[in-house]
Amino acid sequence: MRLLHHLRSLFRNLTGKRRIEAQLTDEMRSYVELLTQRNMKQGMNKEDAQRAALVKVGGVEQVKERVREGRAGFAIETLFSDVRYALRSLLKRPGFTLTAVVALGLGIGANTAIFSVINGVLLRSLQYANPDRLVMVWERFAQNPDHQNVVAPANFLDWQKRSRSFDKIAAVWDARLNFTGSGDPIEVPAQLVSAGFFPALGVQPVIGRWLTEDEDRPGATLVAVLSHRLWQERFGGNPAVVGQQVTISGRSYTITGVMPPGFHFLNDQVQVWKPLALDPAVDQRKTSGRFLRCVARLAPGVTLEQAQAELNVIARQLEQQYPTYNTGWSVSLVPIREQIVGDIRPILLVLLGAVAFVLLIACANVANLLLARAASRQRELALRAALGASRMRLIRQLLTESVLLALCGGIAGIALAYWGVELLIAFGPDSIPRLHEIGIDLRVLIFTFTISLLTGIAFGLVPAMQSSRADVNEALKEGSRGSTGTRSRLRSAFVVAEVSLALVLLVGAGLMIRSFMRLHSVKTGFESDRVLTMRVQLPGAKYREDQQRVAFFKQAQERIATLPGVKAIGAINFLPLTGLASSTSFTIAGQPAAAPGQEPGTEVRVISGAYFAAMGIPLVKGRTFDEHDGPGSRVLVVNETFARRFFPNEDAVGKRVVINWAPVGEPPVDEIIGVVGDIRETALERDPNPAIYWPLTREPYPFMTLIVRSAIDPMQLAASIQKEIRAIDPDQPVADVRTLDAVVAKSIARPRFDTLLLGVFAAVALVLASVGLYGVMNYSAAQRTHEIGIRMALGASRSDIMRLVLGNGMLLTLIGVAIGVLASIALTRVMQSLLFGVNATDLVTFTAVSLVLAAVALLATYIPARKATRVDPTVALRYE
Amino acid sequence: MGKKADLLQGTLHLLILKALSVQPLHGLGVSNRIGQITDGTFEVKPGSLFPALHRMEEAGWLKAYWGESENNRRAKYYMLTKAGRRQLETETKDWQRISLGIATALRAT
Repeated sequence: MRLLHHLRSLFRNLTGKRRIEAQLTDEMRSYVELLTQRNMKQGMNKEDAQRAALVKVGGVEQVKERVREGRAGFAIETLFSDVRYALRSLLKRPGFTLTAVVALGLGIGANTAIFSVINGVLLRSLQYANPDRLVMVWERFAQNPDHQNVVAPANFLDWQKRSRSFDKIAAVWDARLNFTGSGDPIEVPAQLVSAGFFPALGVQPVIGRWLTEDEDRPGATLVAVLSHRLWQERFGGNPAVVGQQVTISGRSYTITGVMPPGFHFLNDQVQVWKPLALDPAVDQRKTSGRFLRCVARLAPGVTLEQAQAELNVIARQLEQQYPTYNTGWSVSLVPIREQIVGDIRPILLVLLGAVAFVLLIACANVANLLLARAASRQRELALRAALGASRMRLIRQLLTESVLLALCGGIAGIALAYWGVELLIAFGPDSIPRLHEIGIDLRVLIFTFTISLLTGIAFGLVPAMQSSRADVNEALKEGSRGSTGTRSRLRSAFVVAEVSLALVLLVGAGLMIRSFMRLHSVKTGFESDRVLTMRVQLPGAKYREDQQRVAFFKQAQERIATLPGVKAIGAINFLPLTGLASSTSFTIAGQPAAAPGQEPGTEVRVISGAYFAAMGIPLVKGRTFDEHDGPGSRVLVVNETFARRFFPNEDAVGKRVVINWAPVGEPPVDEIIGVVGDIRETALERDPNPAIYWPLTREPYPFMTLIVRSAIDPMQLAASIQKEIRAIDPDQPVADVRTLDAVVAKSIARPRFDTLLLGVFAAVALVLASVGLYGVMNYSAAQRTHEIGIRMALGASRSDIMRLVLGNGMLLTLIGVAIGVLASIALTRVMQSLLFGVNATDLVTFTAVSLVLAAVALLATYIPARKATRVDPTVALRYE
Repeated sequence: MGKKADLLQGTLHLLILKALSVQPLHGLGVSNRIGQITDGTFEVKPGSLFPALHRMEEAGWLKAYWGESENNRRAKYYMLTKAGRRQLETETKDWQRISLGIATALRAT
């Protein structure tokens, strides 16, 4: 009943507002009249009676306001009227509004963009069933405990047999296969997986079925599961593909299923999954090294710690059982989420901090604009206070205005972020995990809305409290300037905050830039200009014999060498700077063997043709391979690090070493015939490791990357080289055709990208902070026109005035820089892991950045200062 | 005239309901009547009276109409509705219970 009444009143109040207001005015008038009459009856004259009545009422407008406040729907109505009022007052000053919206849009947009990356990469759940129960299982070698080492097949089989902690454990081997379905043969990235792989991840295929345990055996029917993309591209999404035959690397496979779109495991390029088919009957410890990646699902109720403890026990048993193979090897479990995002988390958090700073600077800027506006609005606010608005009411109305401003900024920010995210995805390096899952979703929108609201309150509250405190009498007096003192102190404080925030960002960006410059100037050890690379992978079924593979690459190189423009051609199994390498242990002939787990190690690289010449790697001593070094020869070439580390103060050439590589029997003794220059093998930031080179004839790999040094633009050679390859074998695809320069650039794409992003944010911060400083100095110089006029009239020179204004600005800047430096020392420490060859408290960076900031601040202060010196004393003294 | 007491929100409602229980009154009439029936203990100021009247009208306890005052002036009169009478009864009972309770509490040693 009461609710009904209230609803009816609410409706009436919101719709018949004018009539209700008129009635309220009438009611108040009649009240005053009645009271006046009564006073007159008591013997007052008319004027006195009226005044007494008005005094008794205590302000007709205030009473009306209180009646309004009590009405149903007052809150909604106030909000509407506040919003209306705010819109009017924002539109009245388009310059101010635009400036504020742009500043806030930049800040909110940057935050939204970075948050959407964090959302996509860190927050959104992985597509596997219960991903929190999934762990990666790595081997760990005592001498290199931080390295997540790939797993030996034999150890994987033993873990699978002995452990009780896992529901399922699976092994994965990344490979590349030649796929011939319909259309041209292509090389596709693939994963060879053990039967537990799909059940462990718990993702159902969209059509067909998983691989079975029976199919994961040597000699079983050959089957494969396709990615959604390959299914769409090669089979037009035809569901009849299940059961169909395709040719993969020269053999016929039956397709059993297609995975859902986006499904992948650690490598989102993989198009085909097929059984790993390890043979349990073979002693894998005799035939192979470590090359598998393992994933496991924890059994119900088992914690990560319990599983780790059980695996530790199993690893110790295996160590005792197989001392030559397993001494020093243990197991480490890593939750899959950490595996995927662990690497990127630090930079994302640094970037989030950076954009938060940008937003804070934008807030300080807008707060300063509002404070400047408050001066001119003083009278308006005082008038409203006189008309019955309470202080809360004024604050609320001012806050409505700033929140509205912030929401406009938020809308601009979303537009900016949408565009920014597109850029991020387009230019983001492949090494950012889940890059293509990034987008603006509901969670991002909620985030943006929330920070817009908070931003509005953050920058609006101080100015609102400040202006609503104004003394009505003071403010209404003609020409009064109100409480300028506090206000200018506040504005100075905001500027100091801006400068120090900007300094922290600049230091962060400066460190990244210096680190990147260091990385960029690292000598690769080879000459990367005008070199073309491309990978050729021969299918095992077709090129079963060693001689076939050797012959293919020999013929290919001979044909390519005759092409015009080719200066040198060679090939290598793992291209440098792609992060791949094989390594093994070795002994120096004639020296006693080291204890198990203590042997020296070396990288092993297999090359062919004029590899060193094509790469531009200098021969330091001895000779390189020639055509006489056939399958039977026992020679190798080492790099300088190998020679220096294992044969210090001796000539390595002519020394004999035993490389533990051969799968069966006693490994042969090799003679070192030459020493070549060091190159950065795995990554630019990593020092060269000892490495040996073998000729392809010695170790005939099925895949090699051709290296072609050219006299002309190397990409021009690409087509003719591919033609030569097809001339030898029309079914043979080539992959990853790119220049060596591109390979080098790609290897540092992530640090370049991180540096670029942080640099952009720092630049935005610098611009915002200097605009803020300029605004404040300009305003305070204008405020002091009168004072400056007096000073000049009393004989101050222009340079005195210049010094006065500049000194003021520089003082603020220096305080800001000092605070910023202290904050940077505390904050940049978190960046240390992102830096290469630069300390997080690098003196050069700190000094340079402080100087840059001071110079920009000087410029921002100089313009208003110069304007101040142009003041004409006669005009200034008449000013207001 | 003794000391003027501050009015609690609920008390004001009760006094207004009581003042209007005999006949409809305009705003000034209500405050006069309250002064009379409380022997001048309470003086309701317009700043509290009018918001209260309007709120009570919105709650459906009072109905307002425009009428002629004693000296032929237009004035807004308030009268109790059925709901208003019921509200007066409930609030009266509540108040009696509360005042009894407080009196007992104050007598306790």
